[in-house]
Amino acid sequence: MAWKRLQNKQLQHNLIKRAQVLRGIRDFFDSDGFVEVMTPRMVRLAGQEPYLDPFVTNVTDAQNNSYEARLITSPEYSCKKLLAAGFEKIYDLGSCFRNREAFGGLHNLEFTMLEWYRADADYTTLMDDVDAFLTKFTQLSTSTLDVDSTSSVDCERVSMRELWRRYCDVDLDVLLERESLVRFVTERGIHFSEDDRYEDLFYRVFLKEIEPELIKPTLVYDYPAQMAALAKLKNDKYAERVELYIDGIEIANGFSELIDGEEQKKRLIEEQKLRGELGRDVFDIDEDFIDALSSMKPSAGIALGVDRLIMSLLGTKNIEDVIAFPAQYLFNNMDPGRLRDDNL
Amino acid sequence: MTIYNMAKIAEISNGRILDYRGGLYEVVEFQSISPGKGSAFCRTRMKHLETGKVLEVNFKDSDAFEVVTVQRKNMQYLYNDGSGLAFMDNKTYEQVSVPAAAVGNGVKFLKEGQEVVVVMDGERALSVSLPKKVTMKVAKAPDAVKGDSSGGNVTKDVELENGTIVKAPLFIKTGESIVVSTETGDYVERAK
Repeated sequence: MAWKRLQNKQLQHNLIKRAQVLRGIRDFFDSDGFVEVMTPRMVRLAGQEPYLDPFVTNVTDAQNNSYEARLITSPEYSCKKLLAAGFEKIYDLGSCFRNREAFGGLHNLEFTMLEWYRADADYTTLMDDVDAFLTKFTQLSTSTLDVDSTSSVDCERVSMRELWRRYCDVDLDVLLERESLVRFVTERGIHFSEDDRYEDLFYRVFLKEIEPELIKPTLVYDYPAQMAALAKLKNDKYAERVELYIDGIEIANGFSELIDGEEQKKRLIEEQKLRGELGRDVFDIDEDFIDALSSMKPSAGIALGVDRLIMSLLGTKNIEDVIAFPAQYLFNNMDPGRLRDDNL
Repeated sequence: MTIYNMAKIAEISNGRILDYRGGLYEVVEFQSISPGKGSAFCRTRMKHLETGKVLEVNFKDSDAFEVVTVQRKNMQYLYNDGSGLAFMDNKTYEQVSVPAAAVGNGVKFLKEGQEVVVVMDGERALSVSLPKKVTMKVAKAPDAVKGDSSGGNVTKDVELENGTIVKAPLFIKTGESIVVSTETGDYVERAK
């Protein structure tokens, strides 16, 4: 029976650590004057990210009217509406859902996301926040972050362009077009496919040559403008987007937020079109969100995968080691006798 | 008969054989990663069937490959006739000849009667996998001499029944059986 997995002492230890981390997160933000907002998990319109699959369901009211509904892949839209309404420092801690993801490894269909937002701030403030945040957790750590627990964590801050220079010996400035990137990937003998978009080619290089090198806590900033997502552009080449890596794993992704509703709508229409081309569920753009953006002060926000943070604190490589009821056991009815013997 | 199917990398599971740049590879490990807000990728480790060389490639979930449908047969090692290694299917008594290269390092731990799994593409044997550990008799083990361990030497070379030399602890004697890892070629334990 799958529940017997919960008798494992190492798992129990990890779940207790997990509870401490969750409490630590709330302490950290509450003591700094942030307001915890509980945004809805189920909405009508989820994020348009072209590569994510929100769970689709429907809602029926007492009069038997039916509405389409989706589980959020991130609380981003709701948080930004709150910012637009005048909240200045908020955080959201709770489950997010992404369908069609691997069972185990670095992914779980339902995972815990922390997002925090600040008005009157940009991504450099987020980087300061991340340092202070990680420092808070060093005491709980047993791995890479386990520096002297009295000292503070200073992530290395490095631009994406510098990383490409360091590990690929090339100036990213000349690889900001699909065509030049195709040439580069071909020269290096990296596998790619003809229908790859710029971003796919970019990640084929990044995942092979760069990501495995990002072992110490590292903040990577300034992504090519083509990969701006919901970030503000820094100039015509790069966007103010930052990601946190620890142990070669992406832990967080933040932006100086785009607050130009018109530009945001343009990007979402493109993403919606791409969703269609990729054969994904196509749904309306959240006009309420677009409308709210124009009332938003310049702000910055970041999403951090809490399960992955706990994994790095505990030095484990499998998300199932930090979740009581991972997807594998809920949906695959896995017998604990078949558990990997190398870990839990 | 060889059956080729196109399959997306995301649908391929460990143990499947795929055609990558003209070579046949067995997928040994997958890790699914979805970077940033981009498309999903699989970090894939795969082993070349003939040379045993391991490649690490990052595939996009939608990358598609020819997947070869193979059969896995339990067979027994018979002999090496110089041109290849002969194996026999215990049920049908059918024999196949496999180039030594397809067995890779494992060839050092083959002995007559050794049970193996042969990956067959139709009539053609593609590769041979040995159990992770095999038990072998020690044909020759020099006696440990007092003082051998003084220079930090805690192992000695022993010769196995098929002529292969491995490092084993000083207490192992001629005629004993030991367990050896076919992956690393290292001594594991004294056979019980």
